[in-house]
Amino acid sequence: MRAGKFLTLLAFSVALCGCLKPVRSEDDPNHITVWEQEDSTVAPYIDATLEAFRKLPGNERVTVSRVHYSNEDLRQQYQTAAIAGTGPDLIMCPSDFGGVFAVAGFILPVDGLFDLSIYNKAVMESVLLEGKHWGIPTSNGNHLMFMYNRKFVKNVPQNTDELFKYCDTEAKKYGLQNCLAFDGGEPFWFTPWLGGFGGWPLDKRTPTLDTKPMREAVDFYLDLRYGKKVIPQECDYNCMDALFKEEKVAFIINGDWSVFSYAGSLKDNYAVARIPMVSKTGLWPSPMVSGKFFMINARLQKDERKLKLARELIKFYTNRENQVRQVKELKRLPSLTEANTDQSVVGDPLLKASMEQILVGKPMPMATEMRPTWDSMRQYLGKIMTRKVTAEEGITKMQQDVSTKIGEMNR
Amino acid sequence: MNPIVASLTEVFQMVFFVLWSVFLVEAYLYLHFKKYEEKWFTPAMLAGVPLAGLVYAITAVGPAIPGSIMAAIAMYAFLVELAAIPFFKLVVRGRYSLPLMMIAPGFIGLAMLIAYPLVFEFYLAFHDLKLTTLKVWAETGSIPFMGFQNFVDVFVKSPLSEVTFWRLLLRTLGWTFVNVFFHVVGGFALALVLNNEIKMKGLYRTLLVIPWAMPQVVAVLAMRGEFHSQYGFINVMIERALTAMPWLAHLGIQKVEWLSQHPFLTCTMINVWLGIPFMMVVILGGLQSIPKSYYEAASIDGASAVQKFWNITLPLMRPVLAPAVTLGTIWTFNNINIIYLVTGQAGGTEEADILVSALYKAAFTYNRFSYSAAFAIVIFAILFLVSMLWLKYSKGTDSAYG
Repeated sequence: MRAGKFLTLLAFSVALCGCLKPVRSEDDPNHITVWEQEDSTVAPYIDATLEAFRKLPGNERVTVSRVHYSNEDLRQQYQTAAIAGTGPDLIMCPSDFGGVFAVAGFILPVDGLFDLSIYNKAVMESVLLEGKHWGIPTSNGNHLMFMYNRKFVKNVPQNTDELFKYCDTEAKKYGLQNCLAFDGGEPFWFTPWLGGFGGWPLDKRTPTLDTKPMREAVDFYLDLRYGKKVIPQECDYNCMDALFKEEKVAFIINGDWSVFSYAGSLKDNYAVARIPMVSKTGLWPSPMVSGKFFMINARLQKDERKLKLARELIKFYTNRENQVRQVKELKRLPSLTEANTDQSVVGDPLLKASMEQILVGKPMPMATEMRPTWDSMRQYLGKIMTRKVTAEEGITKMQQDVSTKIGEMNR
Repeated sequence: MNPIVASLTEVFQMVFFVLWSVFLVEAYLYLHFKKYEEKWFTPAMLAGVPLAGLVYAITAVGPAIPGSIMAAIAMYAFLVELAAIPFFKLVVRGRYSLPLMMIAPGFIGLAMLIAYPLVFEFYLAFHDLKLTTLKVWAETGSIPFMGFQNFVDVFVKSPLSEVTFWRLLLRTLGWTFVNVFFHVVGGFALALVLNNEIKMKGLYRTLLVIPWAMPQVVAVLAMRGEFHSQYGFINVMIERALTAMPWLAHLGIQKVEWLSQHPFLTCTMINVWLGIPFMMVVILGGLQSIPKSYYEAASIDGASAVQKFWNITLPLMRPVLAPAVTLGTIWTFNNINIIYLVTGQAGGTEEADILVSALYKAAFTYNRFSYSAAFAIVIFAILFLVSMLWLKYSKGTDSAYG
């Protein structure tokens, strides 16, 4: 009898404990968590769009939360969370994140989940890996552009000779300490110039760093810093951003994500153009082009209700109405083919210039080999630019290092 | 539901869950300590514990839980209880019930937070988990066995691009020694000054504690900006000094590219600045506990200030300094924040990396998880050895008055 009472009490207590087990937001079929790495000025647009989705008829019980991370933090945090089988339902990130996530099984391929034919073909190609697409684009581009301040620049330089001439003459008249600013430590800013000398970091899945174009591009980079002295010393992203906003430089090379912010701070003085042609080669620098993408956590494969909700959210976020609103508010090119012809796109000079830049850009490789290539480029470009190794030695080691890293990855 | 209300609900739910779990643990222990001699105890436990496991699984996960998993839960719970019953009946026999029941929740919590990750760390170190094996691991639950290969790799392969383990170790020891040395010397000097009767002592103490009191991320990023070659405070001051006194240039004084040319020195300078206040506070507390009568007696005997410091202050400060230096050594050895924030998060330069920052990059930039697990175990062993040797030879655990 006592044993019976005891067992009843025990069962009741344990059941209560089970019921009390905290419900994680990821287990809530009506809740979607989105992690993003956007500029802080973009947050109000994302929040407004997610809120609009929440207010759609039938979504009364739906909640959506957005969490911001810096670029690298998003990659690392998502990776850590995904290994543990958790993490957000959706991430918004550039296409190059997808390569690693796809191979590791952290994200779902979107083929069969969406009608992919409605999106710009070129953008979709940047998330194509092993015959599958791994994301839905929210915008077209995510590319670097040449931006300038009309207060200092009346005629935008078309090639590097004109740029250097401007920096040597007019920039000094305005008392500008430096003429051009960009993040010299990040290889993403180096690749347009590498393309301008006829090179590219990856040939399909093989790193192509120890090449003649790489040597020429590195020499050009060194000349910008130590010879012509047109760029500031030790300038990272925050530094270049502050210099341009505070009108201490005439030009900046930055991505389409920053257009909205600069248009707000510099108003009519802000303008966009193609990165000047490399006079020596006659080639246009070719920034990497992809876009921003929604990628779906692989965890959702086992959760049909949540996957359905995530699909509805993505479809809503990328519908024509929101794509046009994004164009107007963020000055980003749409990913939806149908929105390409909207007057807000064809009639906006900033977007027109952005499209001009895309035309000479190249798709960002999604292959996993891109990750170690970035890491090796960052390491040795840093050494070369601080003159701790010669350009020749640095480039040779860069190639050896990336080969070692890929070897270890595929061991 | 409002997101704030939802978050609060989640927190309260978690608190209730933890409290109820503690209650269950205590109830389990109470029965095993106090009722182990009852007739019904053995059959009730053998039936009740597996049943409790099943009830918990169904209520927590849902009724859709696969039958095979249910059977496994019941079987393991039965086997655990089968081992627990003779242990409590024959070994424990109701002794030490109160202390054991008191420490049980804390012990279980620590076991889950420390023991499990540590065991998993060892598992990883002997296997091969990396980017390309993650998917296989997630799908099959198994990864290739590597034996001691990862431990060998730690010593022969660079965790990054160029810098070797041995160079990192040497740099880390240098980093730790230089930082702790300046923390102690600077902290001691300031504490000695503040220990005197000076006007506005409270204000000075507050100002000196600011670097330590403010969030480290803010302090480090602010200092990083001050080391910028063109716009940082330090180079601006050097530039102004050179303008006012051009002859300084002949002495070799010039603007320095701190972050790109001397990243390790920059990190060290920032960490010295950050660490002095902690030592100052600890040492000041120690100084204030030394009876003044010792100094008065020494003065009557004609002792000089240096003799008083050497023969009274320093020996009596040993019980305070030894744990503070040990803690400072461990914190500095493991201080990833400064390196990470000053040299860039996305890989950055390797020239300022110490063991722990290289470990972080190996794991989360280069995705070498198993290698990093072995690397972490090696770092732990080094730190453990250094701390034990320091405590032994500094006699820091001995009493000053003993």
